[in-house]
Amino acid sequence: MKVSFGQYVPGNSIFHRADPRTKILWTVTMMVLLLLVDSFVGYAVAAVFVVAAIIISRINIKLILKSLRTITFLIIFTMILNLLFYNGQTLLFKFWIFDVYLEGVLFSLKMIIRIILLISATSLLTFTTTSVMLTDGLEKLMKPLTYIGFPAHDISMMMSIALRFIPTFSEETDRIIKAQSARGADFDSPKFIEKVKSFIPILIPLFIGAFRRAEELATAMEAKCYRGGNSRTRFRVLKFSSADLFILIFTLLFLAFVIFEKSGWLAI
Amino acid sequence: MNDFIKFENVYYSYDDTSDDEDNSEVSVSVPHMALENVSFTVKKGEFIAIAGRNGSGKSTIARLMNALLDPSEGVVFVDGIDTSDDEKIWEIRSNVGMVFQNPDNQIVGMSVEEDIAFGLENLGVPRDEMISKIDECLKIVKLEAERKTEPHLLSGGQKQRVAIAGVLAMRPSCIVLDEATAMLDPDGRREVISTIHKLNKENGITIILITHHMDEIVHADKVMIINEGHLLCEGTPKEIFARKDLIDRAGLELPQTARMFAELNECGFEIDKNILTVDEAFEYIGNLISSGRMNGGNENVD
Amino acid sequence: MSIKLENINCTYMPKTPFEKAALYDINIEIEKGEFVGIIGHTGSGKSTLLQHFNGLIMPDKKSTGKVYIDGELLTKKNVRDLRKKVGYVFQYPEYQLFEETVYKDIAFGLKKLKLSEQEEYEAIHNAAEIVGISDDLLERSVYDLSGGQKRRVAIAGVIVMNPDYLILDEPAAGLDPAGKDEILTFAKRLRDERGTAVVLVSHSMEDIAQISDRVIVMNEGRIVMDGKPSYVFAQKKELNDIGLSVPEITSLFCRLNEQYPWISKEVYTVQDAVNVMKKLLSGGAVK
Repeated sequence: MKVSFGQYVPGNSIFHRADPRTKILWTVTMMVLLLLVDSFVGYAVAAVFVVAAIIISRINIKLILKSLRTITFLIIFTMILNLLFYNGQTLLFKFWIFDVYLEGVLFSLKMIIRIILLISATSLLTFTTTSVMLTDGLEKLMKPLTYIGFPAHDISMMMSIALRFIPTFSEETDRIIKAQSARGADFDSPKFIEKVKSFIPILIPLFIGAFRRAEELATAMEAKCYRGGNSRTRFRVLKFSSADLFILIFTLLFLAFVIFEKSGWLAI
Repeated sequence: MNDFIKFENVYYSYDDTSDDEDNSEVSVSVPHMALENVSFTVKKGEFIAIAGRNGSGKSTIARLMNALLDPSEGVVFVDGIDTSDDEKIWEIRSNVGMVFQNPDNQIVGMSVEEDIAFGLENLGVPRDEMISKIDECLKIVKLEAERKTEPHLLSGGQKQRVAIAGVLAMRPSCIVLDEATAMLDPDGRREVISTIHKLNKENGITIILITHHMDEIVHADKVMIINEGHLLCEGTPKEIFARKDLIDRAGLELPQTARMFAELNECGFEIDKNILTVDEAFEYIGNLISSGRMNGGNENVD
Repeated sequence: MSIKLENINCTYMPKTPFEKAALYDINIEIEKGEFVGIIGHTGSGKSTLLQHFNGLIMPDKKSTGKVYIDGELLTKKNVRDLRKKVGYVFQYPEYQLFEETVYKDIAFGLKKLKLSEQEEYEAIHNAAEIVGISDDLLERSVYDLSGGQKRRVAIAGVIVMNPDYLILDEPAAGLDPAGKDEILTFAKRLRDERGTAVVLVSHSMEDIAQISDRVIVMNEGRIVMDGKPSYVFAQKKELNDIGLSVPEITSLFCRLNEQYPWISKEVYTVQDAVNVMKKLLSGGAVK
């Protein structure tokens, strides 16, 4: 099994125990703040916060690096663009038709640090939160929107059913691919059109299967008296705990620092 | 008020032809009769088996029992309530639980306990009560150890027991199993069958078992055979097993032991036709031997 | 002419915490014209074994495991060609139907063979005839068919390639007895008329005893028995120990034999039982 980007890693750290709403709040705040910070001192302090958070979450640093590796291309791409197209005063050298400035180097360095910090901070959310908890957290956060007619419950029900069926569909996909190859299907044609065409025998049964399952599931849910979000009680409940308080304080500290920094007292 | 479920001259027709019926000559979009003039009653606490081939209409009967379908003609009563009464629909559905054929397509929860909670959430049961009910149901279906397990890691038999527990938590008087054993291996089938027998005996829950496996119906109180939308016959398992002609007509198959007795009978041997199980056959043949009626090969005895 | 597996070992998800051995030291040969039944508990390795027969799973390059189809060593290069000889019907094959009509779906595997229209029509017509799908259904949508018909169309889509070996993984799962009989009947017919080797996986000991010439018993990734039905099903205790059973009728006659040793316990089908009983009863209860 490949550990893909941000897949849940079981654990019992403060981050794992915290309410998903708190973690969503942490993630959003970090995203905004990291976009605001633009000094190297700022980044250094931000890095301390992010590394501290990683240590607190007890997520293996290797996993974080692995998820960073998936965006290597993005990092390199940003770097090259900034190097080549940034116009500054201090010309370092000329490269073909491009001028590379010191400011460009510094800027692209900042961008890279920013991306790395962003990804590390936000991936903590998915590393420490099961998709179910995430759905629940989102539903609760979206709840105020129901007053303007937003179907928060339905959306979260759809999301959690989709999550529940991921393993089922991945097994089914595997089976259909094997069954069609046994009938002579060929999935590695060099021609693009042929290749696209070769997926039809997989996609159609998969879609039809999905509709069949959806229909049966709907019947089963109806038979168990499901009738939408009103008057339902919930088995999974979200509760704020000391872990949440801790993360909130942690986030606030960083917020305070950014305000401090932005107000100019620390400007270099 | 002894009749818990009552079908009175029930007809049901599907509007399209794409149902799982084997009548391929029927042309498109002619209303198709899935059930014709079906009447029967089920008493509280009974174990009823409904057998028939695929597309015979037996699943339609199941869906009529908890108001997933309304009869086209005739009336279905559940505990005295007409199922076409839209006001009472949730009352009926929480009173008659359904377990379906495909174990994968009826589990909603991300874990065993969450799936059992689903029905309770729908009924608005407070959370504290949910927990004690889930505990109780897990114990009955013997899945305490799998409480937190994700559904896709369970065996087919376990999944169906989760489905049973999920229905059971809603405290129904009756559980309808619509071919719930059809996709299971022999172990899974045994688990499910023994679970529902226990529910019937110990918890007094009325069971409607819909199946095409004749070996699953030998311990039922009453068996109904459905063929082409009609109630072909009903009776005790013994009465039904003696009618090989009707069983053949319905596209079903007697278990091997019963088939042997039926075939011997057809060959002109005067022996009992309503033997259901290996145990009964063993005893019966023992009696034949001790009464000296069966000694054809006995010359070898010293 | 055979499929031969040599020293097959197979591990699931190697180098992960989920690592699990699926097969150990499998050496087995399926001859053309045989009707082989495979039995085993869920998870005993049956499906993994079957997928080696047509190269859906290839032996690990580092291992000594080899698969020969008609004497030819199966490799990454020739797997597509050799696979044509081995038809494989998965469980619930009706879920892989995708074309608009029955005819087109059965034709799917033929596309690569570049047959003339006439040849294609004949192949499809023959395959449909074997599985009992009448000509008037060929132009219908597969979604208009009954469950049993869909299943048979899906199987026709495999036997249209005229394979020398046909693998059926629980082909009757979920079908009623009549539907099951249809499938077993044409599997038998294919073997008898075309000499196709049939490998049938089933949980029904009754069906396996009735139809196979040879029974292979799998347990925990190993082949634990391999022989005639009368050899395998005579080992009631050994089968029970690995969670399998003998046909219902066999268990009746085993019990009778324990109590009354003159009653034969070599009864594996209802027909056997009727014959034994007739002989025993002829001294007594004739009308």
